[in-house]
Amino acid sequence: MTRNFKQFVQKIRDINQRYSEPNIDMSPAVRWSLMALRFYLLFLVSLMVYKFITLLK
Amino acid sequence: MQLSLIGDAWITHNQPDGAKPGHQGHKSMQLIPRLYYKIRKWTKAIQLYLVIAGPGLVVMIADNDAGGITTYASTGAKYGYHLIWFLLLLIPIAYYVQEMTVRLGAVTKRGHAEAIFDGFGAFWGWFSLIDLMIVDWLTLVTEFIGMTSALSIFGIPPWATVTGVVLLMGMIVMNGRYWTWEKIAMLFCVLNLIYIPGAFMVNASVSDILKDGFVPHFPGGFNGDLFFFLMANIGTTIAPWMLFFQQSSVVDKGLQEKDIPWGRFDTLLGSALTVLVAVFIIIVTGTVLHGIEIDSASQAAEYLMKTNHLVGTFMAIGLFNAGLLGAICISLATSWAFGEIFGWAHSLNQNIKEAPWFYTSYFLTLITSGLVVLIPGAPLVLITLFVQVIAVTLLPAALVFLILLLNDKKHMGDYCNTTWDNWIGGIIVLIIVLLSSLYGVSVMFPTLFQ
Repeated sequence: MTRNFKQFVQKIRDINQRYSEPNIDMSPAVRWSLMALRFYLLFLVSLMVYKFITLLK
Repeated sequence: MQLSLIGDAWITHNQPDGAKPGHQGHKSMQLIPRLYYKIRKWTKAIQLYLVIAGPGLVVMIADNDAGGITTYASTGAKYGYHLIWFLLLLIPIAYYVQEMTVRLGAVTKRGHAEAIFDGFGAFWGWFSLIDLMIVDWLTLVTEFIGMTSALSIFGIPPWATVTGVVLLMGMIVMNGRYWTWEKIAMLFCVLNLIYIPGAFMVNASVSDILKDGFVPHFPGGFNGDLFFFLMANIGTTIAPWMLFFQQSSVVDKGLQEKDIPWGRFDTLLGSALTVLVAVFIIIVTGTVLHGIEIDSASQAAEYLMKTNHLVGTFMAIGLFNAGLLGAICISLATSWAFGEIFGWAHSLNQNIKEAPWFYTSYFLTLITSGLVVLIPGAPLVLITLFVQVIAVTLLPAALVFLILLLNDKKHMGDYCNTTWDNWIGGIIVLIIVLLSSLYGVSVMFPTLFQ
């Protein structure tokens, strides 16, 4: 069990290593799109957290 | 004159008697070989298409899943035929988005998850993969809700439906051939057309359909209720799992760059068929149930049974089939994505011994989501709503990644998006992102747009 878990963690490390750098050409348009996406997701997650808190209340 | 066929070309020879046919006779003699040549050319084209057909048709028709059928049934019951024109607008929208996955898959030979990891790095890759896993699992639960409620109309208990579906889906995928799986899935796609004869049986007025349905307008004015329905219809037409599924399916099928035109046709045909089915569902519920509040497709089937038993039965069978087709595709989308990233063997062309993790992930997703439906008092309504909310966190990201990947000259080469593609695709993505986000927000805050 422990060995399997260790192997799984190692596999994830390998994946992170393999894809550590983006392979797409990071043009200003790509950078801008990824930045906009981050803000968008942050906004959505904030809304969900707000909804969750109001539901608990 | 004699005719002989060499390859695809007809060669004419003079008759030994030297008789010269008249001008008209000469023309009619040329007509037959020309006709033969054209028929042969078309037969070959159809044969070629049948070889390549599949990913586009299956993904688009599976898009009319249990949730989709409920949305269309409710739309028809609330607005009659008045929103048919809006559904027709969804054909090019669905086509443009899904066509990009065909090109990306055929050129890069990578699934969507792998393409995101490789293109944007591990952070965005994990975000997409984990989000996809959650959305797919929740959507699978909704498919099981649809299937169990459809068969409960016929007195079949939920446990029997879940067990039967898991066994059936196991048999479909474990034959060790992508081709067989795809053809079985296409059989279920044909069953999705069951709503079409249903619409002919309710005696809908063609003139009313043409008058109300094909002239763009907003019934009762543009208000919060209508906006919610428009967003729901868009939300069911483009779902995140579709992008991942079609691209992986194109790769597993082994489509090449030369197959892209047929892949495009396949997707266009699928987009048209999916909207056609939606239109016929709206015709059925718009004719019989107009003015009645409908919460689910199974409820619509029960109401329909009271007025026309056969049409109601068609609706219930169609709902079960829609859930099954959705489940077949969604469970595969997750397993393909995990296989791509973890490096497991992940093809339907491999059997369970060759790809154990691929099938383990497939059955784990399937069985756990099926079991949720069987838990007494499980919050199924909440899960159905939650799917829409979680989906909007993945859909915009997946669409933006899709456009960016299609502009990556290094990997896409000549199949890169043109400026025109970017304009159309960009506008469509912007509209979908905006409306699906508003839909997600309106699910969380139902009174916001009232």
